Amino acid sequence: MNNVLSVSQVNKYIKNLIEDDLILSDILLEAEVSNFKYHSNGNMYFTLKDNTAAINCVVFRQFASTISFDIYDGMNILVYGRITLYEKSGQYQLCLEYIQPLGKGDLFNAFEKLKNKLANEGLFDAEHKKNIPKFPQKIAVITSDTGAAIHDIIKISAKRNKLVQLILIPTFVQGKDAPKDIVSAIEKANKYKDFDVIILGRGGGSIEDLWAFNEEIVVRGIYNSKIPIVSAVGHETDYTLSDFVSDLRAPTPSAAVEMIVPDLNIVRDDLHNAKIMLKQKIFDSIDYYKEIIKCNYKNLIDKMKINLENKKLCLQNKINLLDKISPTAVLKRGYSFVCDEYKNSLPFEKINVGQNVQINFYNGSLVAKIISKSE
Amino acid sequence: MPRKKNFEDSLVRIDQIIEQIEGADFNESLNLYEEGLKLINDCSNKIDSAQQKVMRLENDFSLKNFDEGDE
Repeated sequence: MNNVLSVSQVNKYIKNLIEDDLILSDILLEAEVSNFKYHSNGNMYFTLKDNTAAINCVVFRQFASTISFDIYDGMNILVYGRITLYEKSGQYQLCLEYIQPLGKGDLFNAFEKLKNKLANEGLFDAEHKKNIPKFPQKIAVITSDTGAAIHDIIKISAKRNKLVQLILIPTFVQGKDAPKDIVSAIEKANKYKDFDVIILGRGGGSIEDLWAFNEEIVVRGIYNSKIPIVSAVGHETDYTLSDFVSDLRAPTPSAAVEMIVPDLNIVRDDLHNAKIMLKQKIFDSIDYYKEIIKCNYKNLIDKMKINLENKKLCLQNKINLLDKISPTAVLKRGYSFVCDEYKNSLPFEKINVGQNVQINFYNGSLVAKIISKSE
Repeated sequence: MPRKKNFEDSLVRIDQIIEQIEGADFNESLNLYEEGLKLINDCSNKIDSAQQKVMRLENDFSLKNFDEGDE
């Protein structure tokens, strides 16, 4: 037996049914756009269709205003969203949270548009880029926990420098969840605070595969990081917007390690050379001081010799002088002097006739008796 | 948080010492030689005995060892 219901009740019932459904809240879709309209109220409305069916879509103003690429009829896009029911009309629609252009042409256009927009904001300016520390000790690696990127980073790092500690913050690196995941990993690394640098890495792939690294929230997440970020996405020829905004771009994850992790093998050689140089210098120093001591010693000896010579000369002069004025010199010239037997001096007055006196020559003496005296 | 910058500081100091030892007076140069030699040996030993550490940051900010084979 049926109850009589109102339209609102029916629509409300359907709305709850739809919006409680897990699958309908988690829809990933690839389709072609048609009837695109960017309404003056800020919302985007269009239809997504495949060969046999179509579904209405809405992009609300808050998300729509962040979309920097064009959406046009005939364009193929990848979308993610949930089904909602607009009760007033009884119409269900796909309410979108994420849109990615498909097809290389659209992707390139989207890339260019966003690049210009962010460049004009100054996000890529050189002045904003931070320096990478020369000897990082703790490196955060934001990448998938499987795959080539983390494998290469660990391998090259082990070869170069086992002192550096690598800490993985695993994230999705492609798909609709990747952009949010990457941003959250960067924020986590900044919260942990102990990191010297972040490597944001991903192996090679097509522009679709790498698309997460072109998403605006990821670029802004990198820009806002207080810890310097090295972008290592794809292969040498791949450029993503993450590369432009990062503090350093590496062509590949392996290259990132080579660019920021010092090679301890070289440091080991440098240390070896430093030891040789140190020893050389200390020996040179010792030799130098030995020379100085030798020199000083020689100078000292020389000066002493001269001093001694001078004093000898001085002494000799004095001796010569003394000689000249000594009584012996007078005697040598033929004079003699008279004294008594005890060698006491005898002035003329004291000499008496008949007295014995001693007459002294320089080479001998005589004893004589005085015969006569006259003044 | 005070960072353990010993290794980098040591390398810088070694360069400094090699520069300074030439002009130093005798006692000073002996001291510098001793200091320099010790630093060089410590750094070399550190390099030779280093073992790689790869960790994984968990949601609660704890660190766990990371093994590539795990996932």
